[in-house]
Amino acid sequence: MSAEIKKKKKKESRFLSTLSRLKKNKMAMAGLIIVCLILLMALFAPLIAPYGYEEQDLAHMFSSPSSDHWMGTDNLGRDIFSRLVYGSRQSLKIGFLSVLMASVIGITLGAIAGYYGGKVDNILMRFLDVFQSVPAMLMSIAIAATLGAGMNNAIVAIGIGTVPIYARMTRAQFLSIRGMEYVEAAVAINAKDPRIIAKHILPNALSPMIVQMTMGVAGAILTAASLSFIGLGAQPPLSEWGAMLSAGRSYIRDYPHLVMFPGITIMITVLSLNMLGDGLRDALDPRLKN
Amino acid sequence: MSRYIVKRLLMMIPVILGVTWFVFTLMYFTPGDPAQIILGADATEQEIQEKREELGLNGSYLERFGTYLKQVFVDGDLGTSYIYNNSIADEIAARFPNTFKIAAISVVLAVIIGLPLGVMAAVNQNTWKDNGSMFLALFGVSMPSFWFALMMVIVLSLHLKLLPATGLDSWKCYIMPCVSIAIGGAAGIARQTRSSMLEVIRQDYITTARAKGQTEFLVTYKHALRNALIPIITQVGNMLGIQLGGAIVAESIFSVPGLGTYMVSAIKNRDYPVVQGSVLVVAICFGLVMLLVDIVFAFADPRIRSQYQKKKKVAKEA
Repeated sequence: MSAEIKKKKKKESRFLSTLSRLKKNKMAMAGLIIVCLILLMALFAPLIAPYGYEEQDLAHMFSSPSSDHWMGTDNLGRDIFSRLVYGSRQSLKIGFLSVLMASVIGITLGAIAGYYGGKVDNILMRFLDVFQSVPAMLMSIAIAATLGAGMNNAIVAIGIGTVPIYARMTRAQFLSIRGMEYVEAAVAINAKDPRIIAKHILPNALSPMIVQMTMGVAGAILTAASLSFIGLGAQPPLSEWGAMLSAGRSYIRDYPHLVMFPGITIMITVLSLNMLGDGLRDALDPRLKN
Repeated sequence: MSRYIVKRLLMMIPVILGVTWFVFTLMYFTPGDPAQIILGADATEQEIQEKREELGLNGSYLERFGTYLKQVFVDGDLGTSYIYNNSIADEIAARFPNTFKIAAISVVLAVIIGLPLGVMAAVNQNTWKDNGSMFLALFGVSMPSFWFALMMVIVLSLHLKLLPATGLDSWKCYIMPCVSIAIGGAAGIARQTRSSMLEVIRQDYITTARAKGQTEFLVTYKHALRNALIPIITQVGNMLGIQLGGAIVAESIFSVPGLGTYMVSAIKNRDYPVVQGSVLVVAICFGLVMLLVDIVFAFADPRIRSQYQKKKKVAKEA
């Protein structure tokens, strides 16, 4: 009983000490607050957006920012602010789901390669070599081109394209932790491999992965915007931010607000995720802060 | 060293074969009949069958993969474009110099901006210079490069009419594509430089250099930066490798006749052999750039150079 309490306390203290270090980092906290606000915006989009994302007002096409339309309207008279608010759902969905997919596959592959080593490691790493010999963005484009345009395909394409990053990182962590005494102790008491991997090694290898995942969401949002920009991501009438940029591109000469606001929104979101990621890295491993 | 280079080049062969297999498989399972795409919606069933036969699309997966391997690696032929009906290898060869020029200029620009910014941040750690430059760098990595490119087009081309928005006819045409690509790269290099510099800046040999009376400039750039170069070279090499694949979106915005534009139009037109061939060429370029990075390591860091020499000595003694 007392051992359980001690273990709980230890876990809590590790989490709390990370949190207290994170709290001291103003940039990270600012990033966290903005990320939370964007999440809330996505969650309560119908309450925040003054118009529907598909609602057309053909009498007010291309109108400049005004009190009726805070960020103006697009070529079909749709309210840009409302589309950005609804678009946060699409962009965050792509960001989070692609990272979830990449990390689940990557961590599993990396854990197997790092824990078992030998031939399994060799085969998996050579497979990843093939994957990594094509830049991640180009890999995502090639996969998206194969699967066809669309939100779900973009998620799969970005997810698969970034698997090697997580796999290599997990493998490296597992290789350094595998020789630790507590892992040897677990092997000595005849614990099964999946238990050793999931319960003893993985929790101790997670710190860099959490940081990578936070920044990965930012990267995925940027890649998704690029995919939509070249016509491989979300399709009309969905208001994904990159798709909005792509649609507004034809009118930049006379109506620059069509591309300005989606770009700023993408930048603020990615910036806040990167700020949070930087802060998390420093909080989880203070040695890196120098 | 030459043994190492040959060994690395040989190691690239299975990777390139792997990429060929991967890209071929991707395209093999792509929905849509290439014969139908070439002939259009009005083609009769017989015409489609004849075209399929002509293109060799009726064989099994293995037969087609074997034919593709022979075509690429024995005949040196990347195939023919479905849409333009011309040689893909010739088209890539014609476009590659444009992509290469833009990539090289962008990388040089990124290093010129990013390296001093990172060094300045590290030597002034926790001051306004550090915070300011790192916030700027964070801004740079977070900004979509294609959005920045569009903003430059609006301001510099459409309003101020200072720079041309498309083409590659004069040196002025290179400014916007290169700057738009370089900003993100410079930001990444600045962040990497700062963190690498911070790792070496408190080492004993830096204190020794100062104690010997070296100027601060020499201490920073000769003693510290040289020892911090390895991760920075990796970052720069990575950027060059990626850009050689064509700054896909930037090239498409500025209508640069490069590899990126070629790929984007191929994707839009479902011209799969072009996508296949281009990805293969990019993978080879990426591999070669990474090899170059490893060689540059040896020049930048005597410790790595001595490893190669040691191996050579051991081999001779044996």
